[in-house]
Amino acid sequence: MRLRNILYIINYSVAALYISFTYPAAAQHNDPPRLLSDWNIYSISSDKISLTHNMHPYLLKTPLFTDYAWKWRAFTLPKEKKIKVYKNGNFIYPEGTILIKTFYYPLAQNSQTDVRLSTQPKKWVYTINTKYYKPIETRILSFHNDKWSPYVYKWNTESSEAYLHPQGDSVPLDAIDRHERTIQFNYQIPGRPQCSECHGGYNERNDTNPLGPSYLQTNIEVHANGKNINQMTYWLKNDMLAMNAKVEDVTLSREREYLHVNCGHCHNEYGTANSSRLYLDKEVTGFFHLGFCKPSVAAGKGTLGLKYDIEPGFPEKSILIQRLKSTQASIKMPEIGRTLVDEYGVAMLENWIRQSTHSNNNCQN
Amino acid sequence: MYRNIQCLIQCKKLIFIVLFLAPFAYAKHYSLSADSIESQLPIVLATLEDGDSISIPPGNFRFTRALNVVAKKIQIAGAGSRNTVLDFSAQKDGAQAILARGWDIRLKGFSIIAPIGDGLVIRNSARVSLEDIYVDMNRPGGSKNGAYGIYPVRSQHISMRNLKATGASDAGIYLGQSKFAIISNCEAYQNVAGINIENSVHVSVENNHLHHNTTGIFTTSLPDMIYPFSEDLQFKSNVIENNNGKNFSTKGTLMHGITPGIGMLLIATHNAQIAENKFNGNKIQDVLIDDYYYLNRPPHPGTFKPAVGNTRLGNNSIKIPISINKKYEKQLCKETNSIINYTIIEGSELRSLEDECKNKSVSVIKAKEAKVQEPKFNNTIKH
Repeated sequence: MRLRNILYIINYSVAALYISFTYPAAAQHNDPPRLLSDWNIYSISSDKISLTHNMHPYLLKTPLFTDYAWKWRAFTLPKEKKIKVYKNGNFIYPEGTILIKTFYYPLAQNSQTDVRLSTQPKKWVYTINTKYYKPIETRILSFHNDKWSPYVYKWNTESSEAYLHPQGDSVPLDAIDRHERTIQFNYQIPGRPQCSECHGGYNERNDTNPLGPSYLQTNIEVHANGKNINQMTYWLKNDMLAMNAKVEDVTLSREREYLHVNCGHCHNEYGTANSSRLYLDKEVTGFFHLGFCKPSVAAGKGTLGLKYDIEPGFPEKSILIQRLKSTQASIKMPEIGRTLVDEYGVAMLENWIRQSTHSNNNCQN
Repeated sequence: MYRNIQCLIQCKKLIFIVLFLAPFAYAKHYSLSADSIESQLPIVLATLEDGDSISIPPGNFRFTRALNVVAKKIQIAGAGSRNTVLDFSAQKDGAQAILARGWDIRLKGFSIIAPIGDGLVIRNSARVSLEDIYVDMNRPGGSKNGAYGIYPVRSQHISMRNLKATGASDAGIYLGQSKFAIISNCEAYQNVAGINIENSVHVSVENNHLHHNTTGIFTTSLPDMIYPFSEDLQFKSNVIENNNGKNFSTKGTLMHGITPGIGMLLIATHNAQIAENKFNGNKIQDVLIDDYYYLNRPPHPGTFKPAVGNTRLGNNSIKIPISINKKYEKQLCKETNSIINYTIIEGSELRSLEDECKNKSVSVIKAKEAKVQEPKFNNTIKH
């Protein structure tokens, strides 16, 4: 009898151990740190926010437009682990990777500061001064148990701490845009379920994945530690990157790159917008799926009375341009992450469409 | 020793039970209280994990942002579409009221009022059940209504029962690029299209009441989609009446060119069966069947076949003769490309279009007004 009892105990404890090893993600997942400072990403003082020593800042070639927000990106890898690069330039991250991104603005009342947005060199940022800059939110992607988990933290008004804020919010802002104009608007912090609208787009299973960093986006010259260096060379030198194969060069025009970054995460074969059959990611080769003379599909109010996604030569008749120019919630594109119009980007695309010719230049009708 | 081995086996059983049940132990049920739901629901949705469920109490709740549901094996249940009202008339952000995406999603028992864009959108999902949901698209203050009431797109295995949609400036119930769907016991009225099916296959539309729309049912195939045609469709025991409403869709949409007064419009579909429906009071046409050119859309890529084919019509109660492709009046019998394999079943008599064409050059095939049983309605939504 005693042996039997012991066996019971052993079996139950094995079961308990098994459960705790198999499902810790669920337990951890329901319970992310409530404070950003608990992640040990930033050290925060009264007027400064700085990255801790294990965080590495990085920059992207073409960042996504988010209401002229400045984005402070950084990542950390577990000890002795590397990011792998594959032929198509995609990164495979080791277990335990954390990617972070803080959205911040130069404040309008401090317009005398050295805010020269259009002439900013590409520079790694280790510290921001909260007297001149206002952090709004910090987004974290944590790779744990073979799964990316997104967390959103909203900064308090004093910029002294950020709190877990999964439900999304609207923050009234008085800031400066990249054309050095004062802008007043309501910044939209996305809710946690909205993350996968964009981040779940490049994968058949709609799993959340990082979007920004890839070899093509990070392989750039940056100004760091007083000299110009290539980010990829730096990562390789510092054992953060492993090249599995030579990355195939894809040269995209500025416009195509803009479309890939700003639209391609939904407008691709697996993305949230795949039902539109308008594919704007870098892989697309045919003009039709890129929108040229392509009629819209079930776009409802979004057609704005126009016939084609892109009508070559006529940006004013192209649905794509008009939706980029709209600020109405039911019409604007991208649907989330934007309340203002990216005038610089729109002007570039308008020019592109105006100059573009197509085999049947005038779409029929 | 034997007893110990017995114990081992039994314990193993226990372990298995524990292991299989363990994941469900993490599933949570959220029962929200009525006084804090407007602030709580977005938080609960944001922290929702696979397997969780939410129940929403009766009451009128106002939301200013779109609600997103992204998870697997979840259920969100209100206290019935007449009791739990989600009011989006003050919505500022989001292209729709509710967006759901995932697997095994069950939504039931609530209504969505005045969304700024679309009503309930289901994208890239599988095994979705929608039940007892009412979507009223009418916006306060006369601003333009949103396009789609209930909008499952690029999804599979969708069951839509006891739904009600009104005021959509495109389609009350839209099914796009989807596979295996049932639309039954639904009501759609005062939309541009009551039900709109685009490039979807294996769809059953049964026992629905579609009235006072611009057009009752609009089924079409568009070029260059994952499913090349809308095919294997069944329209059975629907009541389609008085669809003469004004077309208030946005210019440039497919719907904009549709003339009011058509009960059922089949464009470039394949394998459709239309049986035991009751048509009444549709001014122009009860059933109109035509090819892709009817839509007057830009030319299609080469692989797309614009023809309509394999339609079986039988035992419908029809007031106006069925019209098949009026545009092709003269070539109809010559151009088997544009219309193929028509079979009209009147009672037990089977006649094919080819036979009809042998005798006379016809474009309009008259189906006698057949006496059919009144379609049975188990619709629990009262209006």
